[in-house]
Amino acid sequence: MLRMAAQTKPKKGASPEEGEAGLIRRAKSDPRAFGTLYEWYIKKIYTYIYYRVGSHADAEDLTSKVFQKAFIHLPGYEHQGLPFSAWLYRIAHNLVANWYRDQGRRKVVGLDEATRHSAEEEPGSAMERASERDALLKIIRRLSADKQQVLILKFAEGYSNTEIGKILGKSEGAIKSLYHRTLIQLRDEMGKSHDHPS
Amino acid sequence: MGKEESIERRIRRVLVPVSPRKGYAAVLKNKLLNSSRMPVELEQNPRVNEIITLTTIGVGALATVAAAATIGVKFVGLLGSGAILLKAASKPPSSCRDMKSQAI
Repeated sequence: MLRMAAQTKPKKGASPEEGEAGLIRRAKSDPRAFGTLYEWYIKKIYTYIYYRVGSHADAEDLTSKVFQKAFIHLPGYEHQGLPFSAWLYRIAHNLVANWYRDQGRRKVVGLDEATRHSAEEEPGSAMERASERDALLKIIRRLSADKQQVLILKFAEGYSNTEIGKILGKSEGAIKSLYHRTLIQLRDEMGKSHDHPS
Repeated sequence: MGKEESIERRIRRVLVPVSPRKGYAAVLKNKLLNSSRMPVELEQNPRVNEIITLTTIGVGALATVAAAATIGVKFVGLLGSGAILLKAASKPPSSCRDMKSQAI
């Protein structure tokens, strides 16, 4: 709904005629234009990586690598109608996959970090909500990578099914189906977790 | 359907946008825009399994070399204004983060 409108609706840093595609062309030789792209996407890429790896330190390292890679390889990037964010998410996805392969570990998002928002929002039930959030995050982190991707892009990033399809190179129908299967699995896992709390 | 909506609401409360620590985005941007694009052959070096840049935290070349020597990470050189280190295969990322902390 929102960010991919950048293709037609210029955002801050791009001239009205330019749009994202023009900005990408300019960024191949002008670092300042790359800086604008960076500002558009830094928070989204960071959020995506954070929920995949579960720690701010690792998210910072990997986010840095995503933009370094993008900066280095941008001269060879060809705009093929897909949003620029799709390319960035693909780089991020590959780096996260490599990170898991190299580390051979799966962290769980820290309770303090994951629940910071709840304490601010509803102090009265903060502990209860913290526990609920932690449990749900643990379940989400056990999902397959593509299911985690769909959830993060949909909820943390606010993309529609159509946009997620473009980012992941799948049809809208495939995303709907994947999302439906994800909800079913989550419901099952939450049921098991409720029956057999760890 | 009702249950799914309930699950969706719960996910929405958990998966919220997060921000990097204060100053991180600006420093990284500064580093990116003031560094040269790395030669492809350097990145594809098979002896290297990770590339580390210390300019993210704004350390100078001498501090970078010293920090690299301290923990035994291979220092390859400077590219543009960016200090680039190539991590030896035996070094875990935690060592690199320690190195960053020391360098700061």
